[in-house]
Amino acid sequence: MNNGIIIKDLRISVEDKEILQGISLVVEPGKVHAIMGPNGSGKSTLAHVISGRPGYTVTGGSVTFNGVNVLELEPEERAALGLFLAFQYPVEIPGVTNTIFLKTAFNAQRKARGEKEMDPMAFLKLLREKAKLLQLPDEMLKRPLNVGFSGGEKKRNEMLQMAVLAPKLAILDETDSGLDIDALRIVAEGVNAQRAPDRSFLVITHYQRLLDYIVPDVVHVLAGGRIVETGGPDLARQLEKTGYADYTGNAA
Amino acid sequence: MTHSQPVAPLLENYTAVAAALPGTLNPRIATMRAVAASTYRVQGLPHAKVEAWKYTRLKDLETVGFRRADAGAVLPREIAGAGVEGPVLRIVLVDGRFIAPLSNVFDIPGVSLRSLRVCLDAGDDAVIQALDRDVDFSGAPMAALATAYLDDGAVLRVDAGVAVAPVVEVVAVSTAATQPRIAFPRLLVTVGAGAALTLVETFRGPADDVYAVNAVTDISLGENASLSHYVLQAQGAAATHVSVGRCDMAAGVHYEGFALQLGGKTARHEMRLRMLGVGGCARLNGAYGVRDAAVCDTTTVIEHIAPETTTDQVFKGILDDHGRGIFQGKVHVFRDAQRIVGNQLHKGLLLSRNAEVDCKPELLIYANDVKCSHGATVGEMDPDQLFFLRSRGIDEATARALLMRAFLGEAFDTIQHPAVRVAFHARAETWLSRREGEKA
Amino acid sequence: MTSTTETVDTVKELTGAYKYGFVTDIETEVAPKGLTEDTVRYILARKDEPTWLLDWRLKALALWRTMEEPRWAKVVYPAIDYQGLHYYAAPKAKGDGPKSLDEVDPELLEAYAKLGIPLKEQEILAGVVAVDAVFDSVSVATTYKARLEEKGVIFCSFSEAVHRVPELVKKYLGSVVPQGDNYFACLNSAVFSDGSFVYIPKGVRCPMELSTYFRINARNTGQFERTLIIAEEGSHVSYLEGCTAPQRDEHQLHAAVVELIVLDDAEIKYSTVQNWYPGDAEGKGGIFNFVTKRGACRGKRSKISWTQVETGSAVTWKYPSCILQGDDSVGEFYSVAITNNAQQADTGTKMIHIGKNTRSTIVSKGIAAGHSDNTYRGLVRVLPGAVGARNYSQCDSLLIGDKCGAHTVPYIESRMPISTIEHEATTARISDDQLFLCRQRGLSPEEAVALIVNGFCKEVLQNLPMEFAVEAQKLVGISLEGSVG
Repeated sequence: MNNGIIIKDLRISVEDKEILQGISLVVEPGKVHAIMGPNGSGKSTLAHVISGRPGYTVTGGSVTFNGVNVLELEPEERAALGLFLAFQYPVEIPGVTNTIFLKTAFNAQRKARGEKEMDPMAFLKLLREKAKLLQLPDEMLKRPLNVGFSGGEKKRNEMLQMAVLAPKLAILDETDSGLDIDALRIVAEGVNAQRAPDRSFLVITHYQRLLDYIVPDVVHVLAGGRIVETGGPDLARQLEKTGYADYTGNAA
Repeated sequence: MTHSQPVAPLLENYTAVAAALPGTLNPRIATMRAVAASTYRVQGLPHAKVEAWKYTRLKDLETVGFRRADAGAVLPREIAGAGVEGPVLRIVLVDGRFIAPLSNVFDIPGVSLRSLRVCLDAGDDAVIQALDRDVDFSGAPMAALATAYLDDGAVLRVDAGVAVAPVVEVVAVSTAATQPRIAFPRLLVTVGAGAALTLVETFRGPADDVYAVNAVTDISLGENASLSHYVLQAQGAAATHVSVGRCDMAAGVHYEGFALQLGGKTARHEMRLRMLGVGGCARLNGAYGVRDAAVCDTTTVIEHIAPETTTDQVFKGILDDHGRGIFQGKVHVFRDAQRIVGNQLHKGLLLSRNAEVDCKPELLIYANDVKCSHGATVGEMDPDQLFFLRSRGIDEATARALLMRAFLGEAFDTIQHPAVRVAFHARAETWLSRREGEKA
Repeated sequence: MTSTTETVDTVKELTGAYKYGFVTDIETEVAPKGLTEDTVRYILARKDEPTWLLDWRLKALALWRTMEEPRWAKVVYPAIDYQGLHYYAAPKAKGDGPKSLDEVDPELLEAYAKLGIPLKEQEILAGVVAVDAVFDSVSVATTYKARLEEKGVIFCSFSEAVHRVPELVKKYLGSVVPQGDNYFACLNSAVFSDGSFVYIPKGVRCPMELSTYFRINARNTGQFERTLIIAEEGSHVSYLEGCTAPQRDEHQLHAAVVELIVLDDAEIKYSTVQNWYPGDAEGKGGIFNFVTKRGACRGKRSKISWTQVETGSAVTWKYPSCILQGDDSVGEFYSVAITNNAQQADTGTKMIHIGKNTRSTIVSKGIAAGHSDNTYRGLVRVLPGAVGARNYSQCDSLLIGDKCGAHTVPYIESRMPISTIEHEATTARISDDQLFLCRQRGLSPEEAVALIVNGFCKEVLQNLPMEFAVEAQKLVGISLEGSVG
């Protein structure tokens, strides 16, 4: 079954406080959906819950990805299914080089899917190609994961991981935060280059400007733990003018 | 491989002396003293096998026959403290005895000052309780000895919510005597919840006499209390000085400490902080200068017992001639004391080929959500910096003096109380300039 | 080097986490239990040792009897019954003992093959490593001896060296670690049975890695090996030791002594992968590893580099040290110590700066998991003559779980102003974010921990000879098995 991600009436609590109050959403393969909303609306929570970060309690609803109930899976099992989260705050791992990290992850996922590990030389070639597309110098591949990287480099590095791991659904959690316009363009080009019929994207952002570069098929507005409006790319531009004031009022 | 018996002098005629100490008829006080005396007798004076005293021998206490001091006579100039400008309330302890006529009258509402001897004689429960809290004498024979001779001192109490504006200065002075004597100054400080106090302890005595001091200060800080605690050890050049400050900290306490040690032939100042309440934070800094053949030991023991407590320590020492400096800093994070931050730094500057620094930082960590670090450096003056200054036309002596002051200055800058900062800085300046005077 | 995924395979294919817990069923000759002068004579007779060595041993025994077991380390263990141990155990030789590798008991060859140490030369990868295999108290085989001898390199068992080069043994034995140095070294001096001997002549660069593989097999046996390595002027050698033992319920004692002597411009690189049986999750069984390792940089510009990966043993008490006597000599200590379950390790180094411009570097990575206690204890001492001495120490601890302890106790003693000592220590844990990132990218929790810990240890692991680095990386993962839920 290849019908993308289907979220039905998802309710999430953290320490007895309900953060998501019944979210329903379908992202079909090949589509790009944007989720916009004010701070504290539950955008990042949605990203974390889909990818299986610990610390959230599912109190209701379901998330299926290509027919599989992902809420019952471990994070690494979800990853092997093709779910990818680009972190809002990329994590540093001292001593583990970018290359080793990616090779380990890449082969772990292949193995989980019953595929053979890739030959190290072939992998290195693949890695270099993808790095080149994102204008990341080879030298960065040898550096420990995100250690000493600038904000922009870290975000580009997330895009590199996405390019190498080639997921079926990529969730970009405020990937635009902390980026200058040049970095933003590079990141967006990286995403656009990977748009494919069997790959969908969930782009989470506070601002409309990222959506100038990654044009979404559908825009949702999340406020107060609910999707309060859904529309086309125009909705994002409209929000840029009016802000979220209308919605925050509604939701309260 | 000799296993010598512990040497435990200073207990001659102890039974007779103890019988004359205040509060002897109170069973709790008597037991406290008896336990301490027997602990000291078993442990003896600190020796190399006692890890907490690894680098410091109290040689004079082993060999010179010290006698317990009676209160001697002092001249007014001898009771000068650290020289802090501005409003200061003074408490004077002469040879360990609280001398009310020399001390200020504390007529601030919510603040009380009493003689320890009076409290013991009266069997004051709160005072006895504060003295008898779970003190661990293992590896602390000198604290045991002090309690064995528990006699006089000052009891200072600040009630909840009272912010004491003037600096409270405790001057513990030893007087000249024909015979070598040892004094046991004792200070008991209780700061109530939300109260604030600035406390300066000064230790001093005759410049060249052989004498000894074994001081204990017990501090208890209530919730959200704030204490600035400064210690100036300015003993004479032939003195043996041992002091320990034990501070129990409740939740939300703010403690700032600075210990400056410049005197003594053999000196050791120890600070022990027990962080018993959530959110307590402590900054414990200090500096020391050692010259001639003196030994100066600074030891800190921080116990992070409650979660979310933080400590920050910076200590700096300058060593000259045959001087020996010791820094031991233990940070102990207890099991389940999560979200702890504990940083520590010790820097030693060696000015002479015959000087020595021994440094033992120690981290004991039993919780996993902890950020702890320690750093230690020992070395000479940075030759690059020296060269840089000289290349800009500054002569070597001036350049050295400049760099030395810069080295210590960093430490003094951490003192929050402006008048104390100035006073301590001036003390260190006097110490430094004596060196330059001699070597010019 | 995607060691982590392989690591997990290895873990999964094992029933327990300890891979080397098997027992070799071989007829063994053991000394009667207990330690007396007769025990020493028993060992001597088995080895046909000269009288000077008997005197040396008896002197050590007499000294040992006056000493007390050290108690300053942060380890707790039940009293050792020194009279309840066998001080000598050896596989029974068939006939007169092997004359060549072909005659070594096939059971022994099998045992080493199972440990991944083939003793048949043709099976060893292109002659990169020569191996001395020590089984309980005796050396059972040394490979590539002939090829090494062409270069003048002597690599043989200690027993053989006593006969072949008695003057060298006599000159250097106990010259770095004197008999009375400490309780365990003294015990070793009295009863040491075998070990490796290495001599690298002047100007020779040893053509291959030398390696000793120690195996404790017999029950109730202490292993007391003695290693002596002498590097003459301008020579160079890289030496590696590996250790394993069967899984047994009772504790076993291992008290080794290693002495290194390095002359002008010579270098010894000494690597250890210590994986003695650590005991079970509750602390039952496991090796008591009380080891004295010390090297003397006697020559100018000489160098000793210790690298250790300590993952095994129930209790470790070990401080590989450098005495930097020669001017411009260099001492290095790179250590990874991993404790899990109920293991306890108190390990570190001593750097004694005596000569001018001596330099030392200490990099220690301690990882504590389970209920374990992991202590770094190190001494840097700069003596008055050591003008221009420099030391840099970095001690990092990583805690996995909230029931373990990680401790750092550096002793810094400086008596030389024209010297620089810098010490840094940090303690941290694996953050939830790091774990989640790895899992989001497809790694299991075990793989994630192995990857992160390997990153944490990288500076140390990269100092190991290539052939062993991969093995050590796997070991890091295996040792932490079960540490995350």
